[in-house]
Amino acid sequence: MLDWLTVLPPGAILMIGAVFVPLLPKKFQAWFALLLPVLSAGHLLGFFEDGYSHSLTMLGLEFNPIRVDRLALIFGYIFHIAAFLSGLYALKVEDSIQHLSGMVYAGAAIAAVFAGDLISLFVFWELTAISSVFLIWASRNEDALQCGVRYLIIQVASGVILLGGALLHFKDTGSLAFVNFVDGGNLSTASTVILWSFGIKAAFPFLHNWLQDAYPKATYSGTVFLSAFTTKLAIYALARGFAGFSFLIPIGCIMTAFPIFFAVIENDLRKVLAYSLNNQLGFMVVGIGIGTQLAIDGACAHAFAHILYKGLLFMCMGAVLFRTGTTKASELGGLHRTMPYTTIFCIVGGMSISAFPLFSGFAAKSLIASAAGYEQMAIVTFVLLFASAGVMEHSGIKIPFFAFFAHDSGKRPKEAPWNMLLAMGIAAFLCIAIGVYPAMLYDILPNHAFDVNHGGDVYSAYSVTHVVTQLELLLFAAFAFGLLMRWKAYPPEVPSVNLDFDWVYRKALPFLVFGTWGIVMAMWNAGASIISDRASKVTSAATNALLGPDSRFGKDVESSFSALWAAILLVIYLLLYYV
Amino acid sequence: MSKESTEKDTLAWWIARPENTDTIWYTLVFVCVALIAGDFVYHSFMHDKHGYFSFETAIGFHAAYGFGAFIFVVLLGKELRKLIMRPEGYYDVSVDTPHHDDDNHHEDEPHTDELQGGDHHA
Repeated sequence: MLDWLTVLPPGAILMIGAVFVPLLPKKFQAWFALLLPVLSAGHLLGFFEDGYSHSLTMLGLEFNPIRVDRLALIFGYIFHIAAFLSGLYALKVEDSIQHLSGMVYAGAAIAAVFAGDLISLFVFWELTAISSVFLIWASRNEDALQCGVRYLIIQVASGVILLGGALLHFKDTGSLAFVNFVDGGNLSTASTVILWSFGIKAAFPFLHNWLQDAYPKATYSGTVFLSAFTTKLAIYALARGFAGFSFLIPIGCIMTAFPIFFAVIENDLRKVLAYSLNNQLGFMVVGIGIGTQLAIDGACAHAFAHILYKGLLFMCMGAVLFRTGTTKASELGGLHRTMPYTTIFCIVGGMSISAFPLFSGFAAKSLIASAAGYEQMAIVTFVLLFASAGVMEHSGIKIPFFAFFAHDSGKRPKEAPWNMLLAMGIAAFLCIAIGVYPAMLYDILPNHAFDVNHGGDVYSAYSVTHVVTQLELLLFAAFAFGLLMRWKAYPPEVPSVNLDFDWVYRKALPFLVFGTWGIVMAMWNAGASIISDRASKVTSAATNALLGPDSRFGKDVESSFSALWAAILLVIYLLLYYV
Repeated sequence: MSKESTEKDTLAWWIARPENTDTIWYTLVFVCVALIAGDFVYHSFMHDKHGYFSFETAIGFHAAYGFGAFIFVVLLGKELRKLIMRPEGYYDVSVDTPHHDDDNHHEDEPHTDELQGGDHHA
């Protein structure tokens, strides 16, 4: 009787259910939206297990809309948790479009990770783009409107490139299956195209700016949704298609390092978090590039932990935005006085992302670091350690410190509403739970976190050496912060924007295009005026010659002559009419 | 939690009060020194410190690296500001930015006009 549920892709309940949200009375909408992830999670857990696959043939092509394996499942689990927490956080949002788009977006991301062929992937890939842009537009201001257009263009382009790559791949191989494309360390043209598509969504260097552009401009709850799905869907896709492609290691290293510098000087704390997100993706991309079983587990574990603590941090900043109307560090400070719970949750998020022992980041990031160590990648290790110190700077210290402590802004906002506190509290609890009891997370990793270099036992993050060295790294970074503050050498928060690669398409390109257009128009106008000048001279000369006082037609003529001409013309006209 | 608060700022947490800053600072310094001492003991007497690379097992390597990286990031960030920092509203299209001093500014106008056109139907 319930057989049809086994051919319904996981996440479909979210997408279909969300359509009914706007039809409900206003006060039930958010609650109904919150129910959807619960139903969808029941669907996933009740009807699908590792190894399940559902295929169908259409137009002579084999599609595989549902493929369940451990790699898909871990992303399926965390996406459901993220959808529920985001929905809970947005419970008091009275905007049906946000509930609708948020849940369609989450559902599309879930369905995408269970898509076994490239066309199904493409469909849900584009759906995440189209549904999520409404979370940006829902801010309902000019800035967000334009930013949403930029976001949509880039995201849809990623999907179109994916489709192009999929078709090329089909032409080459006759298969649409979404499997690992790395063939002896090399990529075919088709899979290179697909990598570009994933790279846009995963915010590779120079393709990254949509993220820092869009996330700070979405609504306070919209950003919580956004932070979870798009980029981690791309991480999943990279892990599926490009695990072990070593070119990803340097890309990931750059991703971990460069956003740090932007995060240090950024004033908008939600933008700091967007840069921080980019830096975290770098760790995962490095893991995928290394490609050993432990490294892939590390990338997945990091994605799982990251969705929780990054969501938590965005929730804290969302609460600040909701209560004070701003997330600019230069206008904030001292909020711990009246928002104590949010402050504590933010500190938990900050300690998790900084990978303090007993917090989730420590349990997750260690896998990637160990995988790099086992492969004797010294430079990668150096970069990752450097990036870890950087994370401590911008997310561990800067975010909580400048929002809730630092100089007193004099703002005394109310504490966040209960539903936001509950969502933050659950996220914070999970961050600590994973840190204290990582086996819970390791158990659902694709390769069970088996440490083959260590006798095949389940990986252990908590060795004395590891705890001591990590504490040294973090506390001496904190020591450096203290020293810089005491010397007043720490850069002050100033109202500003910082240029990044988006300058190219927000300033330089429009300037070039419209500038060129302006030059062309100016030349056109100049040319036209010369021509019209000449033309008017010629016309006046001709008019003069024909009709001037001395010309043949200019002379006075007798009326009989005129009458004769009129008669002749009339005759010609009549003749022509009857012929 | 301490109840002895200043008259002005009764809501501030203990850690946020100016009079406690030094206490926090010296606690941090103490913890850092203790960590290095612990690392030294662990490394020298228990010979149990392991790592994937030889440099990792040096005493205080992570401490020095974390400290150095932090200072480097902040100081380079300050330099970066000189290069890329712009006033707020740099990207605002509704406000005409009067920063272009060359005559190209004139050619930029269709852009501004068109985007302001978007304003009307928003």
